Amino acid sequence: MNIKTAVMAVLVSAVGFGCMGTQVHFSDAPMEKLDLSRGRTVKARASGLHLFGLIPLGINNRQVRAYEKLKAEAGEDYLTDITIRDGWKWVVIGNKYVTVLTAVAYPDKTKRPAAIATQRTLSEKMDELKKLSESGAITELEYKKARQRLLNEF
Amino acid sequence: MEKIYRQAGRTLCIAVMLAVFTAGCASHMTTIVSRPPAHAQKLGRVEGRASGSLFQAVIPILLNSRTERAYANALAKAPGATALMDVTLREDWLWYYLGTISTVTISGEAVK
Repeated sequence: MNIKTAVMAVLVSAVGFGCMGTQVHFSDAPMEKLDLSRGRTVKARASGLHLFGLIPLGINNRQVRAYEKLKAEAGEDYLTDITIRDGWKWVVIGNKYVTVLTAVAYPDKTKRPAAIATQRTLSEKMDELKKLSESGAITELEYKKARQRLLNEF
Repeated sequence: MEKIYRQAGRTLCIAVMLAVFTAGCASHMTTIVSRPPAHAQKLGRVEGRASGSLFQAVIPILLNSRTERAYANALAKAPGATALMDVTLREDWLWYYLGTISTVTISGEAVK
Protein backbone atom coordinates (compact mmCIF):
# COMPACT_ATOMS: atom_id res chain seq x y z
CA MET A 1 0.00 0.00 0.00
CA ASN A 2 1.54 3.32 -0.99
CA ILE A 3 1.30 6.53 1.03
CA LYS A 4 -1.38 8.06 -1.20
CA THR A 5 -3.68 5.07 -0.66
CA ALA A 6 -3.07 5.14 3.08
CA VAL A 7 -3.86 8.88 3.27
CA MET A 8 -7.03 8.36 1.22
CA ALA A 9 -8.09 5.48 3.48
CA VAL A 10 -7.60 7.64 6.58
CA LEU A 11 -9.50 10.56 5.03
CA VAL A 12 -12.41 8.40 3.90
CA SER A 13 -12.69 6.67 7.26
CA ALA A 14 -12.47 10.00 9.09
CA VAL A 15 -15.18 11.61 6.97
CA GLY A 16 -17.53 8.72 7.47
CA PHE A 17 -16.79 7.86 11.08
CA GLY A 18 -19.85 7.16 13.12
CA CYS A 19 -21.69 4.76 15.35
CA MET A 20 -25.06 3.09 15.60
CA GLY A 21 -26.77 3.55 18.91
CA THR A 22 -28.36 0.74 20.90
CA GLN A 23 -32.01 0.28 20.11
CA VAL A 24 -34.37 0.71 23.04
CA HIS A 25 -37.72 -1.01 23.09
CA PHE A 26 -40.47 0.59 25.17
CA SER A 27 -42.85 -2.08 26.39
CA ASP A 28 -46.57 -1.37 26.18
CA ALA A 29 -48.53 -1.35 29.42
CA PRO A 30 -51.55 -3.68 29.57
CA MET A 31 -54.32 -1.07 29.78
CA GLU A 32 -56.84 -3.44 31.32
CA LYS A 33 -54.55 -4.00 34.32
CA LEU A 34 -53.75 -0.37 35.15
CA ASP A 35 -55.10 1.22 38.28
CA LEU A 36 -55.54 4.67 36.75
CA SER A 37 -56.45 6.23 40.10
CA ARG A 38 -52.97 5.70 41.50
CA GLY A 39 -50.55 6.98 38.84
CA ARG A 40 -47.32 8.65 39.84
CA THR A 41 -44.69 10.46 37.79
CA VAL A 42 -41.26 8.85 37.52
CA LYS A 43 -38.15 10.32 35.96
CA ALA A 44 -34.71 9.03 34.96
CA ARG A 45 -31.72 10.44 33.17
CA ALA A 46 -28.51 9.16 31.60
CA SER A 47 -25.70 11.07 29.99
CA GLY A 48 -22.74 10.51 27.74
CA LEU A 49 -19.77 12.45 26.44
CA HIS A 50 -18.72 12.94 22.86
CA LEU A 51 -15.03 13.43 23.50
CA PHE A 52 -13.63 15.92 20.96
CA GLY A 53 -16.80 15.32 18.99
CA LEU A 54 -15.47 11.96 17.90
CA ILE A 55 -14.99 9.46 20.73
CA PRO A 56 -18.27 8.25 22.23
CA LEU A 57 -18.23 7.69 25.99
CA GLY A 58 -21.60 6.37 27.10
CA ILE A 59 -23.25 8.07 24.11
CA ASN A 60 -24.60 5.11 22.17
CA ASN A 61 -26.55 3.44 24.96
CA ARG A 62 -27.71 6.39 27.05
CA GLN A 63 -31.38 5.95 26.03
CA VAL A 64 -31.23 2.30 27.09
CA ARG A 65 -29.64 3.22 30.42
CA ALA A 66 -32.22 5.94 31.03
CA TYR A 67 -35.04 3.47 30.31
CA GLU A 68 -33.53 0.85 32.63
CA LYS A 69 -33.35 3.47 35.38
CA LEU A 70 -36.94 4.50 34.66
CA LYS A 71 -38.11 0.89 34.99
CA ALA A 72 -36.16 0.52 38.22
CA GLU A 73 -37.82 3.70 39.49
CA ALA A 74 -41.26 2.31 38.66
CA GLY A 75 -40.61 -1.03 40.35
CA GLU A 76 -43.50 -3.42 39.64
CA ASP A 77 -45.69 -0.66 38.22
CA TYR A 78 -46.47 -0.30 34.53
CA LEU A 79 -45.07 2.63 32.55
CA THR A 80 -47.01 4.68 30.07
CA ASP A 81 -47.10 8.25 28.72
CA ILE A 82 -43.33 8.14 28.29
CA THR A 83 -41.72 11.38 27.15
CA ILE A 84 -38.14 11.98 26.13
CA ARG A 85 -35.97 15.09 26.21
CA ASP A 86 -32.47 15.22 24.84
CA GLY A 87 -30.13 18.00 25.86
CA TRP A 88 -26.54 18.82 25.01
CA LYS A 89 -23.88 21.07 26.45
CA TRP A 90 -20.48 22.15 25.23
CA VAL A 91 -17.80 21.18 27.78
CA VAL A 92 -14.41 22.23 26.29
CA ILE A 93 -13.29 18.62 25.67
CA GLY A 94 -16.40 17.75 23.70
CA ASN A 95 -20.15 17.71 24.03
CA LYS A 96 -22.15 16.23 26.86
CA TYR A 97 -25.52 14.72 25.95
CA VAL A 98 -28.23 14.08 28.51
CA THR A 99 -31.36 12.03 27.91
CA VAL A 100 -34.25 12.55 30.32
CA LEU A 101 -37.20 10.18 30.33
CA THR A 102 -40.37 10.82 32.29
CA ALA A 103 -43.40 8.58 32.53
CA VAL A 104 -46.46 7.84 34.57
CA ALA A 105 -46.23 4.60 36.56
CA TYR A 106 -49.53 2.84 37.30
CA PRO A 107 -49.80 -0.09 39.68
CA ASP A 108 -51.57 -3.31 38.80
CA LYS A 109 -55.16 -2.97 40.02
CA THR A 110 -55.29 -6.64 40.91
CA LYS A 111 -52.45 -6.07 43.38
CA ARG A 112 -54.05 -3.40 45.56
CA PRO A 113 -52.44 -3.21 48.99
CA ALA A 114 -54.51 -4.86 51.71
CA ALA A 115 -54.73 -1.61 53.68
CA ILE A 116 -56.37 0.18 50.77
CA ALA A 117 -58.56 -2.74 49.77
CA THR A 118 -60.03 -2.98 53.26
CA GLN A 119 -60.25 0.76 53.83
CA ARG A 120 -63.79 1.84 54.66
CA THR A 121 -65.34 5.10 53.68
CA LEU A 122 -66.23 7.79 56.21
CA SER A 123 -69.95 7.17 55.82
CA GLU A 124 -69.45 3.44 56.52
CA LYS A 125 -67.57 4.25 59.72
CA MET A 126 -70.23 6.80 60.75
CA ASP A 127 -73.00 4.25 60.19
CA GLU A 128 -71.21 1.68 62.31
CA LEU A 129 -70.64 4.21 65.08
CA LYS A 130 -74.31 5.19 65.04
CA LYS A 131 -75.36 1.55 65.31
CA LEU A 132 -73.06 1.09 68.31
CA SER A 133 -74.55 4.18 69.96
CA GLU A 134 -78.16 3.10 69.26
CA SER A 135 -77.48 -0.39 70.60
CA GLY A 136 -76.08 1.15 73.79
CA ALA A 137 -72.61 -0.35 73.31
CA ILE A 138 -71.11 3.14 73.70
CA THR A 139 -72.33 6.18 75.65
CA GLU A 140 -73.59 9.37 74.05
CA LEU A 141 -70.36 11.14 75.05
CA GLU A 142 -68.17 8.40 73.55
CA TYR A 143 -70.24 8.54 70.38
CA LYS A 144 -69.80 12.30 70.04
CA LYS A 145 -66.05 12.11 70.70
CA ALA A 146 -65.53 9.26 68.22
CA ARG A 147 -67.66 11.04 65.62
CA GLN A 148 -65.66 14.24 66.04
CA ARG A 149 -62.36 12.31 65.74
CA LEU A 150 -63.50 10.69 62.50
CA LEU A 151 -64.52 14.06 61.09
CA ASN A 152 -61.17 15.59 62.08
CA GLU A 153 -59.27 12.69 60.43
CA PHE A 154 -61.34 13.16 57.29
CA MET B 1 -13.12 57.98 21.79
CA GLU B 2 -10.63 55.19 21.18
CA LYS B 3 -10.95 54.19 24.82
CA ILE B 4 -14.72 53.82 24.46
CA TYR B 5 -14.32 51.59 21.39
CA ARG B 6 -11.77 49.46 23.24
CA GLN B 7 -14.11 49.12 26.21
CA ALA B 8 -17.04 48.16 23.95
CA GLY B 9 -14.87 45.62 22.13
CA ARG B 10 -13.80 44.06 25.41
CA THR B 11 -17.41 43.82 26.62
CA LEU B 12 -18.48 42.23 23.33
CA CYS B 13 -15.59 39.77 23.52
CA ILE B 14 -16.57 38.73 27.06
CA ALA B 15 -20.21 38.33 26.00
CA VAL B 16 -19.22 36.09 23.06
CA MET B 17 -16.90 34.03 25.28
CA LEU B 18 -19.65 33.61 27.86
CA ALA B 19 -22.12 32.55 25.17
CA VAL B 20 -19.69 29.97 23.78
CA PHE B 21 -18.67 28.56 27.16
CA THR B 22 -22.22 28.12 28.33
CA ALA B 23 -23.58 26.84 25.01
CA GLY B 24 -26.14 24.13 25.39
CA CYS B 25 -29.68 23.29 24.50
CA ALA B 26 -32.42 20.81 25.21
CA SER B 27 -35.22 19.54 23.06
CA HIS B 28 -38.89 19.75 24.00
CA MET B 29 -40.43 16.86 25.88
CA THR B 30 -41.61 14.51 23.15
CA THR B 31 -44.17 11.84 23.93
CA ILE B 32 -43.00 8.56 22.45
CA VAL B 33 -45.29 6.15 24.28
CA SER B 34 -48.84 7.23 25.02
CA ARG B 35 -51.86 5.42 26.34
CA PRO B 36 -53.50 3.81 23.30
CA PRO B 37 -57.03 4.98 22.49
CA ALA B 38 -59.87 2.75 23.62
CA HIS B 39 -60.56 0.02 21.05
CA ALA B 40 -57.34 0.93 19.24
CA GLN B 41 -57.28 -0.05 15.60
CA LYS B 42 -53.87 -1.19 14.34
CA LEU B 43 -52.72 0.35 11.07
CA GLY B 44 -49.44 -1.47 10.62
CA ARG B 45 -45.83 -1.02 11.56
CA VAL B 46 -44.24 2.31 10.61
CA GLU B 47 -40.83 3.91 10.88
CA GLY B 48 -39.79 7.55 10.97
CA ARG B 49 -36.37 9.12 10.84
CA ALA B 50 -35.03 12.63 11.39
CA SER B 51 -31.56 14.12 11.61
CA GLY B 52 -29.92 17.15 13.08
CA SER B 53 -26.38 18.44 13.23
CA LEU B 54 -24.20 20.01 15.87
CA PHE B 55 -22.02 22.26 13.75
CA GLN B 56 -18.62 23.17 15.20
CA ALA B 57 -19.73 21.59 18.51
CA VAL B 58 -21.85 24.61 19.49
CA ILE B 59 -24.30 25.44 16.69
CA PRO B 60 -27.35 23.15 16.61
CA ILE B 61 -28.95 22.75 13.19
CA LEU B 62 -32.31 20.99 13.52
CA LEU B 63 -30.72 19.01 16.34
CA ASN B 64 -33.15 19.75 19.15
CA SER B 65 -36.26 18.76 17.22
CA ARG B 66 -34.97 15.48 15.78
CA THR B 67 -36.94 13.13 18.08
CA GLU B 68 -40.14 15.11 17.65
CA ARG B 69 -39.75 15.06 13.86
CA ALA B 70 -38.88 11.36 13.77
CA TYR B 71 -42.07 10.56 15.72
CA ALA B 72 -44.15 12.81 13.45
CA ASN B 73 -42.57 11.22 10.36
CA ALA B 74 -43.45 7.76 11.64
CA LEU B 75 -47.06 8.78 12.33
CA ALA B 76 -47.34 10.39 8.91
CA LYS B 77 -46.60 7.02 7.28
CA ALA B 78 -49.99 5.73 8.44
CA PRO B 79 -52.73 8.24 7.57
CA GLY B 80 -55.14 8.73 10.45
CA ALA B 81 -52.77 7.33 13.07
CA THR B 82 -52.88 9.09 16.42
CA ALA B 83 -50.29 7.14 18.40
CA LEU B 84 -47.63 4.47 18.25
CA MET B 85 -47.52 1.26 20.26
CA ASP B 86 -44.65 -1.18 20.77
CA VAL B 87 -42.20 1.68 20.15
CA THR B 88 -38.48 1.31 19.50
CA LEU B 89 -36.00 4.17 19.34
CA ARG B 90 -32.43 4.29 18.10
CA GLU B 91 -29.98 7.13 17.65
CA ASP B 92 -27.00 6.97 15.29
CA TRP B 93 -24.34 9.59 14.78
CA LEU B 94 -21.78 10.47 12.16
CA TRP B 95 -18.75 12.70 12.48
CA TYR B 96 -17.83 14.88 9.48
CA TYR B 97 -14.90 17.17 10.38
CA LEU B 98 -17.10 20.24 10.98
CA GLY B 99 -19.47 18.58 13.40
CA THR B 100 -21.64 15.59 14.01
CA ILE B 101 -24.96 14.48 12.54
CA SER B 102 -27.38 12.66 14.85
CA THR B 103 -30.17 10.59 13.38
CA VAL B 104 -33.11 9.33 15.43
CA THR B 105 -35.13 6.39 14.14
CA ILE B 106 -38.49 5.61 15.74
CA SER B 107 -40.61 2.67 14.77
CA GLY B 108 -43.82 1.30 16.15
CA GLU B 109 -47.28 -0.06 15.51
CA ALA B 110 -49.46 2.82 14.33
CA VAL B 111 -52.91 2.94 15.93
CA LYS B 112 -55.96 5.17 15.76
